[in-house]
Amino acid sequence: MEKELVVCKIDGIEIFCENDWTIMKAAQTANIQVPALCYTPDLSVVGSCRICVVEIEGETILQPSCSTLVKNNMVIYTHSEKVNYARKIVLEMILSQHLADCLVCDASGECLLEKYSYDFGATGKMFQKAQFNPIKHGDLPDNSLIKFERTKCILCGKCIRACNEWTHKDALSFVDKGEMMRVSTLYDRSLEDNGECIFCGNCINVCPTGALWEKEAAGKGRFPDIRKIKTICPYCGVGCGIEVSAKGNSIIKVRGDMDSPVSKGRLCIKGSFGFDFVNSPQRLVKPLIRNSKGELEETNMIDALIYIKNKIDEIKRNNGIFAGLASARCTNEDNYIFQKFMRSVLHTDNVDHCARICHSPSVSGLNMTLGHAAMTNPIEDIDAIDCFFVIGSNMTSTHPVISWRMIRRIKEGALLILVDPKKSPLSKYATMHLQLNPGTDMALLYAMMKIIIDEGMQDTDMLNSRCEGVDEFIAEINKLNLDDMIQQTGLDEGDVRLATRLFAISGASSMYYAMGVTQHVFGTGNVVALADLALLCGKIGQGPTGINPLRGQNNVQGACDMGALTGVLPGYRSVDNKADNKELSELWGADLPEKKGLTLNEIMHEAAEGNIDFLYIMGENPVLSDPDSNSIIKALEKTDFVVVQDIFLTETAAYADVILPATSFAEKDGTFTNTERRVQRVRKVIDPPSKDMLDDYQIIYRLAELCGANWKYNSWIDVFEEIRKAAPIYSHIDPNKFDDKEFFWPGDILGDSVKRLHQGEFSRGRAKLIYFPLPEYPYKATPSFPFLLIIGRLYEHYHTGTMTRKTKGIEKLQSEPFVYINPKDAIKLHIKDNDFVKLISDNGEIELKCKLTLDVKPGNLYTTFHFHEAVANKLTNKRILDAQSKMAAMKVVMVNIIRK
Amino acid sequence: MHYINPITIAKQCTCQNQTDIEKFEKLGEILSMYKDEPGSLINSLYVAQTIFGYLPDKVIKFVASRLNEPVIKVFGVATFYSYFSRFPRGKYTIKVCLGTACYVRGGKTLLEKVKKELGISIGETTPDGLYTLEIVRCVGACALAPVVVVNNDTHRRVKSNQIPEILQSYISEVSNEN
Repeated sequence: MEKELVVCKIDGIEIFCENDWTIMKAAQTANIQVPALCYTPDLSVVGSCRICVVEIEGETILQPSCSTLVKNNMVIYTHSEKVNYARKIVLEMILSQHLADCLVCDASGECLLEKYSYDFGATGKMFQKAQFNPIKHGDLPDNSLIKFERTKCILCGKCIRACNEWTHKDALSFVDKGEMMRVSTLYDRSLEDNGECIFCGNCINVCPTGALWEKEAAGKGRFPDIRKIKTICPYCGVGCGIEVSAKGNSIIKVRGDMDSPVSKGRLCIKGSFGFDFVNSPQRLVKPLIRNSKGELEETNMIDALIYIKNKIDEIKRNNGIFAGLASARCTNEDNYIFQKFMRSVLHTDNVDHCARICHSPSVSGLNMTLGHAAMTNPIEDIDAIDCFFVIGSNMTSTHPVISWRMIRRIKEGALLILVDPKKSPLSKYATMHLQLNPGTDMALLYAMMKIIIDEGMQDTDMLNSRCEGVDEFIAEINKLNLDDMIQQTGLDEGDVRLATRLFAISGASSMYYAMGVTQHVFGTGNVVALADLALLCGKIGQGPTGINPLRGQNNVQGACDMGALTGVLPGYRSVDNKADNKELSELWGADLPEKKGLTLNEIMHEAAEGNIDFLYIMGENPVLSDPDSNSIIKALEKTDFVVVQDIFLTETAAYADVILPATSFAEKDGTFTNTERRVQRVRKVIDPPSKDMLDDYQIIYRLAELCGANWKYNSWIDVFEEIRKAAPIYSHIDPNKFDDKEFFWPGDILGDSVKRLHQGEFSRGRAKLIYFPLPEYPYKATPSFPFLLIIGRLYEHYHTGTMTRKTKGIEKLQSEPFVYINPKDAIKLHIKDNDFVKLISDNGEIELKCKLTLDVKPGNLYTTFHFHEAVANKLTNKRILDAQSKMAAMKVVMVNIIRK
Repeated sequence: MHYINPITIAKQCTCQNQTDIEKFEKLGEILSMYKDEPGSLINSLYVAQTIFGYLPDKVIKFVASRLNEPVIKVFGVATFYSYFSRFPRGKYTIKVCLGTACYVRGGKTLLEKVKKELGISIGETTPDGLYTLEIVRCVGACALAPVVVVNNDTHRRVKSNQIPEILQSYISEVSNEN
């Protein structure tokens, strides 16, 4: 339909609109609220509730505004007497089918049916109430997270549409017909058993009444006793907006924030249900000091800080070595203050955090080639992509909300080239799924580049005008042997050629990658090869195309931006660059270390040798998350003094000398930076459980003051104002304007946010094509270790499970670790489903249950690292590190599997 | 692609004595002909029900995956039409008409009598797997009211004392077969 401008008049206001707008949309632009029960922006329109009817001059019948298009010179009344009466009748009919137990209903105060009944004077007494019918109204089989009362259901179908259209799942449907029509689950089975429901909770979020509700929230509180505060989800890097309902000092429920530009109301299981940890009785509430007997003793904050301060003085006198681990889970302010404390007070550059073992190859690789280490495009650019190239990312588990948007685009016709040794849920939507041998990404990428050059598909304009090092690079590629590389990947040459052509020729191709690419000892080489491929095809720096590392944690991007990385000062300035160093030492009024310090794996290595005297760990759990768990435990034991600052007594905190209780995301103000470089405001919802607890940055700020620093921060805003000065990429962000403006880093000359990087010119001027020699394939099965174990993540759990495993409902869904094996291998080894097996690597061994699945290729195994019952990282090692980024081989490890 | 009449396929079917695997193979073969034809879901379910006698969950899933349709859509359609059944049905389906004409001429009494004789209520199947009881709203034979339809036989102007006799005739049919 060709777009043209039309003018219509709604309630006397003239509105200019396009001819494909509905009356509802036109009214909303003029801020006229039309009531609706079955309509939600962002879901398909069904027009079944008939509450949104409006009167159109010249038409005898009232029309539903959600599905009627505007026409030129239309005159519309949204609240005329005729309309209001019609709405009242419709509401009376709905109420005749609805169990109006508003006196005890959780939804009272938020329920749209209740609101409209009041607005239009519907009492529910006009028609006879429908009788209870066990088939129509009876309970569905139970589950542990979602409550569904069909007596309150008004059959608007929003839950079904949210399930299908937002999350692309098939858990809910209308069944039967006529008066027996009802919402049911697939096969009428419990949501836990039907194999479709992923407990994202989006059906609850869109339900206009109290029919769908969080099971745990039922009876805990309702309006007006609860208050709703918008903040940011503390789980993955997507940074979905959440609306937290709290009563007193406890969190009742969490719903997706419909106004969030990132998620538009969508959440996954972690975001909807994973918040029991905040009010958990296991929270640390008092500082603990290990006494002379080796027991942990409660104390108060000031004593604990003085104790640490005295220890710092003592170590300083003895010229001891300090080191610190910041946290990708904490706010930008916390990380900024942490690294400032380490560098300006303790004068050490031994400061790092877990980005070292997730995306440090992206930081080094993308800085080398492009100049900025972050997603080049905002998430919204997904809607304009023709061909997705997803490599090493199990997105539906790790970044569900981004993956749903991608699947929606794929359903609209975009292509998906998926590169993953395992069949992930995304493979269902893949145009081509290249199931390569684990760790042969670089061989595949070089093979693709060779095909591009052989077939002349490269973007010469891009290479000539915006890149450097092109000729040398192409000469190196020409030397490679295509057959050898393809043989290494274990793929078919025809498939690789087709995938290459699809990627190179599609209009807007974009890359998305994650840990599968980076967690290798040649991780930087992988990332550089990806950047090379994008540059070679011109699929970067032009509109929505680009290369996008999906960051794992809520604020891992921010922690990197704040300089919580070895050798990196805030805003990616370098410690060993004299000018940068001088500028920041002037700003901070202290001398800064001038040489690069130790990285995370090096710190742990040195600590295990007994060479580290003081280790400060803020909000991390390296015992579970870092490679070679046994050596981490050894390192913590050998370190003279270990301070752990966390919200729980984690596996790591068990080895600390002092444990400081910090506040959780719900108890603090500040900012998170999500994977697309969007800086978002975190708002305080409740008070911390004890007065002895402080925000992470406040604890360190007080410790710094004790150590003689003269910092003046009254609130997080003061810290942020200093960040603006220290990190130029944040200088345009006004901390007081988060409510009405979207902020991305960096800013342009006018002070506006730059959503797409590298448009027109690359951040480093000309992009550089770099050739990394192809490494010898490191994951060769040997007779003693014949299997390649891939370590990944589950949808239900997050990282080391410290937070998600505190929610009973989630823990019930996935309560124990499994290793997944192909049935072909299982038959040879006489292993059955649920058998206990032992995994042995040259570094350690773990015991866990086994599951047979076709998703894993023969010769491969798959497990996750969420569970302390079977620490997958006991199998990994850090003997060899990536030369540029110091990454260890954490993704793939050679193991043997033995039936117990 | 030419149109395949599901009824023709159903008529050729001799599936009663086949194993589940053979049934799935047969169904898969037929579904491959329907795959890219729009609007073939109902026909597919019809064939599936003819082969299996009813639509168990695994058959619904199988049809969905073969037709490349969301499984929930197939489930929705299968529960919408009363022809389809998700549970095993008896060898004989007894349909008691409760349309206006049959109702006023005693359809309701017939229904009660059938219920009493078989000891089941509407929608249920006798434990021996012989009879399934259903009600229908008019079969278009109002002049013959009240009617009871058993499979393809229409029993006309039925009186409630004839019910045991009608039911008995099918039991003897079964015993004759054996």
